[in-house]
Amino acid sequence: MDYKAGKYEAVVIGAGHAGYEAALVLARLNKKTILFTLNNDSIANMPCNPSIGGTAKGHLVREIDALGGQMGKSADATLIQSRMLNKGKGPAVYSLRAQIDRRKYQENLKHEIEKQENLDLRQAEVTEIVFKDNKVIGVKTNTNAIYECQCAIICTGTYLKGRIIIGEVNYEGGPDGLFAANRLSDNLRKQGLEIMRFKTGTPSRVNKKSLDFSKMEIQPGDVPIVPFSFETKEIDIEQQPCYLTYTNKKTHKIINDNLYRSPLFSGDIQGTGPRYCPSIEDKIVKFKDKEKHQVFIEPMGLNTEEMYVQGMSSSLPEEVQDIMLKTIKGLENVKVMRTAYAIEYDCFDPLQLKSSLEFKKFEGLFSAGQSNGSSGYEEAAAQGLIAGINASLKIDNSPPLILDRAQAYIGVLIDDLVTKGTNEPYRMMTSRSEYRLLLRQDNADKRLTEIGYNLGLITETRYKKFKEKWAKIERELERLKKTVISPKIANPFLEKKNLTKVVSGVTLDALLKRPEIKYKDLTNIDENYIAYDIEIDEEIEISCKYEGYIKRQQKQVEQYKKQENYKLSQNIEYMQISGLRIEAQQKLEKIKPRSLGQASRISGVSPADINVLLIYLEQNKRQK
Amino acid sequence: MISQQTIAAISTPPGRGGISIIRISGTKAFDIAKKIFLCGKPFDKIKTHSVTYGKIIDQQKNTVDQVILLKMEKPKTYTKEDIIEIQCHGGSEVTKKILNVVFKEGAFPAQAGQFTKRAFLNGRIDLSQAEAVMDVINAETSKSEKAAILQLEGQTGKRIRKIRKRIVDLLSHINLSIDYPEYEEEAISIVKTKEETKKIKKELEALIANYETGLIIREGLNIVIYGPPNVGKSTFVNKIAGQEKAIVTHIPGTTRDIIEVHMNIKGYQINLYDTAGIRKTDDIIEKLGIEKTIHAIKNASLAILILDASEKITIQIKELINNSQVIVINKIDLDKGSQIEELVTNKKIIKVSLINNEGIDKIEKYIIDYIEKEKVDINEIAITNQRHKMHIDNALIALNNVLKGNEMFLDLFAIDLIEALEQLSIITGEKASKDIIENIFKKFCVGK
Repeated sequence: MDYKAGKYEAVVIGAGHAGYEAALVLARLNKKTILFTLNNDSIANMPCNPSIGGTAKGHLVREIDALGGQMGKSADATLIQSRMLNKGKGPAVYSLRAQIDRRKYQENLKHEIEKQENLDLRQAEVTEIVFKDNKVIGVKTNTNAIYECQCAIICTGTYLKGRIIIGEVNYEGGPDGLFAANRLSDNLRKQGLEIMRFKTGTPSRVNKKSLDFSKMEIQPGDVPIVPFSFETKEIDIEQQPCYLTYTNKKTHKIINDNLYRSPLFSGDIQGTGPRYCPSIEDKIVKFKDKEKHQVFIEPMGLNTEEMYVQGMSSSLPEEVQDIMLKTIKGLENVKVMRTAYAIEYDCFDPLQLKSSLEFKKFEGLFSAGQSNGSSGYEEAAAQGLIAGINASLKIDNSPPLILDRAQAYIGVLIDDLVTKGTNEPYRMMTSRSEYRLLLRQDNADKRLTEIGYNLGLITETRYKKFKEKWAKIERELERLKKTVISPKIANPFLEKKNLTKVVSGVTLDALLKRPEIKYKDLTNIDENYIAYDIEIDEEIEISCKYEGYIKRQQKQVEQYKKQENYKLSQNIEYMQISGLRIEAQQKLEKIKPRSLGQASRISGVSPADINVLLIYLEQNKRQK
Repeated sequence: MISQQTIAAISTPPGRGGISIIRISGTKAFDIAKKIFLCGKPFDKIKTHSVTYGKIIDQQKNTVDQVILLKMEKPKTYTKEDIIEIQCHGGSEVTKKILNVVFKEGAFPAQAGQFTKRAFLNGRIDLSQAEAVMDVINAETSKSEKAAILQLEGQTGKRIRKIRKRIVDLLSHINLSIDYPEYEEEAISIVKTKEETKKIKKELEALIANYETGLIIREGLNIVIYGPPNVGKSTFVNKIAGQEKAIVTHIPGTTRDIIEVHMNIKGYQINLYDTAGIRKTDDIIEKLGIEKTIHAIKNASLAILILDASEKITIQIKELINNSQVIVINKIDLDKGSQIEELVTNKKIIKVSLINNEGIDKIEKYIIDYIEKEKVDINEIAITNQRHKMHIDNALIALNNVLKGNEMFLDLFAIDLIEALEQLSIITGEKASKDIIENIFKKFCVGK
């Protein structure tokens, strides 16, 4: 017998990285919220690598933080190593990456959730969404409890009909030895949602005491540690190293000899796997000529000897994995603690979503994270945050928050998913952004804090501090442009640096634009030089040095915005527009783009189709 | 309105005509005209909807042509935008040259039906015309798509695609280095990036190196007939043209007309230009005519000097002979022309008596041989489409930026390379960004 268990404004299903962001933001926006998880001890788990950030992903974390999200703060509180990647490749692509103490991170988040006002945490499996006239009115759990709600957010990760595959062995299951959720996706399929089957995988975990680090390269963290969150002042910890070793011919031979036992090649796995996260057998088959592949050994935390073996994701039989690992330098006596596995799971075709992450078909139903075909903790958290914000806005009868491609990586991520769809788990990369130079991790706060503040997710204190920081930067940039240095002062300085001298007065701005000159160097010639924090120094340097490129991208953005601001009604009947090609009609009908810009990004919609669409719209406007 | 680009195109139908009209529409139309049009008064003083005579100059300040310019301020124009119309000499390369100058100042090539589309979108055309416009656009798009595909299926398409692929590869490598910093051994250096860019640039330059030759093949071979007065130039043109179908046009606006005759010999398009007789003169008008002739000779693919076998050889004629490409000696019924022959070394001589129809076949054979010899190069000819040329020029500018840059960071190089890629992608009709990401995983072994 069903029973009524409670009444909430919002329900969040799943407490992974999408789920906790969604639940926390809803509660912080004063929405009465309940968060369901299959297991209270597995909240905010990292079932794959114990790290947060990296290229583009670090950008996402900074953006989440600027909007008032949780991930950056919890990462700062629990990190055990931090590095700024890509220091040599340009300011737009500096990327923050941290090794995280996995257990501590989970505890941190669980406690954060438990303490949060307006938020209840409940261990239960949601098996059904209850609709009335295609509108969410509640959810039902495996214990027959009905929870009424106005909005529900699905954040089910890889749990829906999860199946674990290790060689010839396979069984129902979620990640990290947890149970799968077997009923919800069938329920939604019946309601008419399109379900896809994706695949991903994870390598083994091994015991530290069985490894010989003397045979590996050590990879220490950076000092000082740069935090993810604007609110974190300073992180002073003893950092844990990672280690690098390589596969070799012996490893490859074992894999080749046993390929026939791999479910990927025997056809046992039907799900689509991510190319950027290939299994070791994938790598060896596709890149026959490579004699070795990198293997990183990363710590899982401070109070554990478990180590993560990055680069060795595999679905070969357990016994093959064991001998394969033992061929690697430093792993000769390895003791495996968890076997590498592949996992298949159900997810939704994201083309069914609006840019707000609400399903087009069902009012009040949202989805975020891997259930939308993405991959990665940061991608999930970003979607969770946006879905949470938008569910809250919906409850308030306000228009949704949609970040565009020129505003944030979050905008690129969601736009790609809901416009282009995906046929493999989608990972964020800097190369997916058209305006990489504008979407930097160092200016994420500038791009998004205002939005977070207006939503009520940023405190007054932080907002004031943020304003002051950028006012300082603007003032200083202005001053650099106005301050002229005479050759008498500039030339000895330039000479010392072996640089071309000047014949007349030169502005500090012009000097700083030279690649060889750093902001700090100006202290020698600038009597009003102010020593700021490193962070501000860096900002001034980037804004000045790359001004030309930044302006160029801003121009492109203007062009892009014109198309984005041309809004398309959700009521256009594309099948009725005779000039459109059939493929374009179908795609447009399915995706229902919200702007002309979005329409033009749909694959299968040509510039000619856009012309036809424009004319149709103009015609309609005049008929009215 | 949605599209803010200023667009330009030749608005008169393709083919030969006395005049051609180039139309420019959009916010920058007047700015462009201001830069390229010179007349007796400042451009801003020209009244709207009035006609002004003047000349078009290119970026090097050389005169391209003398034209009539029509300035029309919005909204009382066809597109309801600012419009400039330039009436120039038709039936020659001049129209294309002017259009090129317009593009260089920032206009974009108008697509088929684009003026009409703007006219509609800006509310100029009424509702009943909308359906017609839609039809036009549909028809034109498929037609132009087909045309583009045809051109791109040949060698040219292959070469552009090959170059484009190289840029995709290079960008993939750069993006790999950025998105997968933990794979240091796979990363590309700045030096390598520049080296590869240099190679790509060379290939792209080769593609447009014979753009002009390509035009000849497509638009016909320009042959200029010149020589002293009364040697039979007009007879020559009439005889050759008389045997084939020909259209004779007078080019208006010149002080002494050059007659332009278009014909087809054995399937080849020939454009014959009959010019003013060259002689020493004090007559200003005649002098101008002779200058025109000299100019025409310089621009011709083939210049045929005609001489009278019976005429006395002056210093001036000797000079003409020395500077000539090929000589036709006419009136051999009056004189054998041996004294001319004696003066010529290493040059082709064709002896004819035009009045008796003697030797005309020899001239035709010479012309055909000349074209067929040139035709060897047809396979080499890459780009003939003006729109394609513009995109390639833009791509080259972007590649040059990469080479010039003393920047220290890979991601800045990527900005210009993406620009180059986008320009070529417009020609090939492929989408740029997806390719790069696809390619990273095809070419490099990365990922945990």
